[in-house]
Amino acid sequence: MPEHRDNTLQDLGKEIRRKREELGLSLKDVHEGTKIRVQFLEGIERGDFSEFPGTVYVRGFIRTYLQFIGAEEFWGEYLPVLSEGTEKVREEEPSVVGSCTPPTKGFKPASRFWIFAILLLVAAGSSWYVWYTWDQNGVPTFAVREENSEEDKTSANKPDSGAAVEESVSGKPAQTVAGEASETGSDRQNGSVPLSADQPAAPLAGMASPPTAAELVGTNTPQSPPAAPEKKKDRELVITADGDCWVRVRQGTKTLYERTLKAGESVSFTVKERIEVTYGRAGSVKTRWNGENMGNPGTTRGVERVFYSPDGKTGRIAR
Amino acid sequence: MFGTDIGIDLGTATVLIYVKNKGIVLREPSVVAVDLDTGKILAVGYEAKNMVGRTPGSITSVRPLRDGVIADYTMTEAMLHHFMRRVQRGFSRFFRNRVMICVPSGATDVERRAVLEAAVEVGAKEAYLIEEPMAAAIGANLNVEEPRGKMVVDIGGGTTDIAVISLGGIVVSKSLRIGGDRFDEGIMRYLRKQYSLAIGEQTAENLKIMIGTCLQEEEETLMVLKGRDLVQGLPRQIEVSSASVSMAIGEMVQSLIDGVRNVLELTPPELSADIIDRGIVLTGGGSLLRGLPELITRHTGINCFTADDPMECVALGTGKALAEIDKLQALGRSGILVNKRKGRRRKF
Repeated sequence: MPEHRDNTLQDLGKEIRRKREELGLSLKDVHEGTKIRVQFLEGIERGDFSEFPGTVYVRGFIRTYLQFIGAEEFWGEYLPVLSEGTEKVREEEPSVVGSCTPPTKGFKPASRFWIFAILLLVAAGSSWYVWYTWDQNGVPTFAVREENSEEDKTSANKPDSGAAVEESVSGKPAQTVAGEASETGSDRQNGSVPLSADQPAAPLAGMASPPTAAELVGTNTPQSPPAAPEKKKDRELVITADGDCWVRVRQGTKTLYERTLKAGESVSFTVKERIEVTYGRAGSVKTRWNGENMGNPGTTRGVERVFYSPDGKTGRIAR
Repeated sequence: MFGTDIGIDLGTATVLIYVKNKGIVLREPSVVAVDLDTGKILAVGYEAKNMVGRTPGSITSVRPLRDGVIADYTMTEAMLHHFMRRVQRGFSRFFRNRVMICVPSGATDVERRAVLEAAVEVGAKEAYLIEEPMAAAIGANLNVEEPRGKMVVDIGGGTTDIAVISLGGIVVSKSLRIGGDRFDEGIMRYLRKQYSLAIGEQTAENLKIMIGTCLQEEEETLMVLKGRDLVQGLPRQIEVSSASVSMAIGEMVQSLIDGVRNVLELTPPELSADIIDRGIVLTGGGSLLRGLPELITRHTGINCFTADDPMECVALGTGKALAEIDKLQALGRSGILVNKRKGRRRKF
């Protein structure tokens, strides 16, 4: 290919020379007219551009020479040969600003790539975690856990606080109440302390005043109680049915829960306000109040009404 | 990591945008058409240029650049924003690019600052400036790094930059506020005086492109020209010769040649010797004016020729220089590049 190119350039050079001689011009005349050095003019006629300072000058000088001798038709023939040569020259030529250092590729601060990559990974990881921990009901489970831990912490720090329902149920007072409740339970089992129907709270703890606001949270699972309520045994009422038993939970005059529990079923309530539970067949259920097994809620196997108060008190309501 | 390198020739007459690995992707006239009532930009580029001189009262066509520098900042920013959006298609428009823009060598600090600000405003991550003759030399494939004198004359729309370059830096330079626009104005003035004919900027430019020449002894060509008769106030058609055009622009061409001579006078003798051997390289749209290289050769005694693709040289040069920016920084080429990043200005 280069040989072919050189031959073409030489041929073209010869043609130009012939044209110049036809016009009766010497190289000096051309130099006078174009101000191109004779050395370069000879180079063009020889087809040898090794002495030229650069491709751009080769093209410029040839074009000027051709214009001067009126042989511009040769430019069309030169153009492809020179373009071919340009590529060759470009490979050999130093880059734009010299060859002292290699040309840079892309952006200099390559560390940025890693910053982007790490950020991307972190974003992907956290979104996966959120997706993974999302509860079936659309509630993130980690939020529940957080709530629980916060509650535990609060109850541990402020055991005497009676403002919030949840606080009053757990911690120190809960233990006290549990003690009282167990005492009550043992008394009840002995049948020595029957509860009065008119004063349900009075015999047990001397509660100052019943709470004004009421809230009850109940979940019903057919086979086993859910994991979260188990953690809060000390302030919950868990009713487990041995046999079929109709259960109704009322808060004042408002019925909050009414259902017949099948054998083996269990239901738990978070007691935030005083509630009254009516057991259709008290002998068929077992209750667990504030983490303590209370056994059957009543002495009889028939209908029993029992109250549960958020401060841990409980007692049978006489008919 | 993301984004690309973009070189912009923010010319008075034409804006050219070079994108790395793609070449020159945009060449549009730097004209913006604005609705004066609402302040809304109606058209940019060719579309706006076609409106020049043909707009109703409420619409005006603005050329935001004059004499090579920003004359109307808001319009320049709007125009650049429009062009950049056209250049960056698809996903790439979300990334910020490195941009290099050329400025005339005679631009003041305020004018340079305005160009940098405009580049950053349109979404450049880093903006660099390069002087036009240096960009033109790089774009014309001159080996600017070698210790040899090279002379470049870049004749743009608003300015002519003449410089002698050696060892990657500008040794002597001069920026003249003469360019294609001034040639057009000269033609308009001449026709008004000689033929009592008023013509628009576009017609004058067409006349210059079609039959414009610097050499009066060249073979005469004629062109039919239409305009408004200043005496009668009616449309008129005349024939204008190339000799008339050469007379109309003669004064400006002479100033240009004087500028070249001035620079040659200031050039150190060693470099003068190199320039005699190598000649003067013309770039820019103005270098396409017929007979200009011959006229410069005649007046200076130095061979003068036009580079290949003279209109694209500056844009190509900005792109190439940007690709080598790190190297230029390492070499400490002060005065060539100015970097603006995060509101701070750094010279190196």
